[in-house]
Amino acid sequence: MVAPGREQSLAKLVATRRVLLVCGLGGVGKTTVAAAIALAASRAGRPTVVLTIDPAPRLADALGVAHAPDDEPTPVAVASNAPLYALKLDPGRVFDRAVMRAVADPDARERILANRIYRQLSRVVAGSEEFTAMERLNELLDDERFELVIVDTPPSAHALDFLEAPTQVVSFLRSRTLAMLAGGGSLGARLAGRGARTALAALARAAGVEVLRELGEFFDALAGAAEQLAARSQRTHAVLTGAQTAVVAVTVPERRAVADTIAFMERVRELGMALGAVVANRVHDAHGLEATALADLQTALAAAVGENLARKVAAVAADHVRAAAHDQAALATLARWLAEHLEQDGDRPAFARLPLLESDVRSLAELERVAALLCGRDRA
Amino acid sequence: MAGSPGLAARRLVFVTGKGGVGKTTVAAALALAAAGRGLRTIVCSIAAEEHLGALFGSDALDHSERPLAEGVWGIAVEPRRARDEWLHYQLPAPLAALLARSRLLDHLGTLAPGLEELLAIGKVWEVSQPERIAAGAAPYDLAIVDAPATGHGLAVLSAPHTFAQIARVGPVRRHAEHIDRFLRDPAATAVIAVTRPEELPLLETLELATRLESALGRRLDLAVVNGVVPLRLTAAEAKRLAAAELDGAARKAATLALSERRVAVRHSAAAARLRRRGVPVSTLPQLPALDDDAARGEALAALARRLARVL
Repeated sequence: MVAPGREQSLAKLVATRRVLLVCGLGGVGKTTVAAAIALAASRAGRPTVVLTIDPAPRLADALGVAHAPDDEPTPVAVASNAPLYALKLDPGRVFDRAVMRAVADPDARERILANRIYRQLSRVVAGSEEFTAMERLNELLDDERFELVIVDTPPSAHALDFLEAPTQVVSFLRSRTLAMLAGGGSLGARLAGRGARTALAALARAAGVEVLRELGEFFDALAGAAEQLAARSQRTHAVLTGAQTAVVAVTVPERRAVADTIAFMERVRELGMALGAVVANRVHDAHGLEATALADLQTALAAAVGENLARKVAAVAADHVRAAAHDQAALATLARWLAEHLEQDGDRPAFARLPLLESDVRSLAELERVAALLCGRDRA
Repeated sequence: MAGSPGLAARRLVFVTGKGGVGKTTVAAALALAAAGRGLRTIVCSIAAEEHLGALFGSDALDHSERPLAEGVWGIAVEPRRARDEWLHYQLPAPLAALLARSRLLDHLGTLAPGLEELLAIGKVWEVSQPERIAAGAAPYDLAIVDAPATGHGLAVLSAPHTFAQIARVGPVRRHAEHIDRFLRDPAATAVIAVTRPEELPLLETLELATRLESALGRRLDLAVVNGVVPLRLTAAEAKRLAAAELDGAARKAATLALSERRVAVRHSAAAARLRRRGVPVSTLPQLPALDDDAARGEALAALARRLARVL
């Protein structure tokens, strides 16, 4: 028998990794968890930056990025053992920078920036947040101010899109379609086969020649960029699947969320990434109250505050006890999965539970408490 | 007070909202409520992840229109299938088939701005028409769209306009303009946001209301706020409870009740904020966990009864 692995701790993760990717479905509290982990890391003496995608205004305020220019790492006003920076992703700016870096010819750059298709593309493409978050991570890895980069990933239903988005963009840029469309469809069409020519003609008929011309111009200007972007995306991929990176999955204690999280974690492993921790957020705590003692509780309350109010308070307690039991049942599945899945280094991913708070985190003091709950107890 | 938003009188109800707030559940409950009024109703999923089928205890939906419950049908719109259908309406068959086979369009679908969104909303529009283009397809009285999260949802609603601007002439433009007019028309289309009484979803809903006005010149017809904690204790009771001398379990229970009241007060303020902005509001308690097969049907029916008043 192999001895069961030790449970990893978040404190150890923040002390040893270079990148932590905080993932989860929308609305589970990813950004707060990412910010709290970042705070804990700076407490542990590591210069840290947290890349947020869409922080709630009051959390953004607490971090000091609410009014800072987007895309710029801004120091968080907190006394810590190492600098802590936060930044809000600006997909448009990062996308522009990435494309400009990849295109050598200044004329081509100008043509791209002026192209209507490009302007729409950089704003509208849904995958662009995924692509740009990874591109921004790439830039931050080269920034000597930071030892640890914490990435709050986009709230995507396909939680690992960000890993695949760069590959998709690159495979498109390398494809024959690009060659066909380059040169407004005319030069490319000569190189392409007859079927493709007819297809292009049909497309022109359906979509209007104008669109095709602009698409052609756009792809023509981008033609040289493929190799450059490919090299960068390979680097991102190597960093994400390397030992210096770990994934932190955030979930809530609901059966469907747990099932989604388990599917996500399996995908993480398939992709060769390390799973560092799972954080269950908003867990009801029964505070030691038990369902069997609720009748006695109501009697005790009635003596102090009267029958009517006692009934209401006991009802609140009963709901809470029920919710706590429900949460525990939902998380049991998660705990079981974690117990059965050792990471390559023989450790089990950390499993942290955060209690349901009265309100979302709005200040650094509240963030401090979350950080202590996540990383406080067992220091590495 | 504004009366009922009158959703049942429209042809299309577009349900959007921040990820994870319960859009699909609300869309399903609305469909059941509409079917309860005798309306032939279809729910169209255009979100990336399709959970609708499971809510009705059926398999995952696909691009075919399938019955889900008495008076309720469902479809999960696949942009590629919608594209091929559209090509067939627009082009002679051999050309359409050629284009459908071509990898060219797959790539364009990945990168061309708003094309997938246009195709998805185009299919939804087709489904919602009293006279269907799709051969042999029966019309519905009401189509309810389980749309992607707010930002992307708005991109879907604006896609026809965006595309009409890019394609200056041609059938794409005419088609896109037609859909755009339908989506802007408050008599034809309603837009509702599902949200939660917390800061971020609330702000996103307010922003959606503003952006609907600026981008589409239309209002947000309804915000369904769910997960609203009810106010169980009066202010006087809360004061009495806080002052009472309690210990042990009684003190813990009192702490929980007082904490719950603070949350409830914040939640009712959140709903009030939306109303002040001129957005009609319907509140729902914590949505039931619909993962329990046995309880799901009844839970969904109860939600439908609550939501019936917004029809």
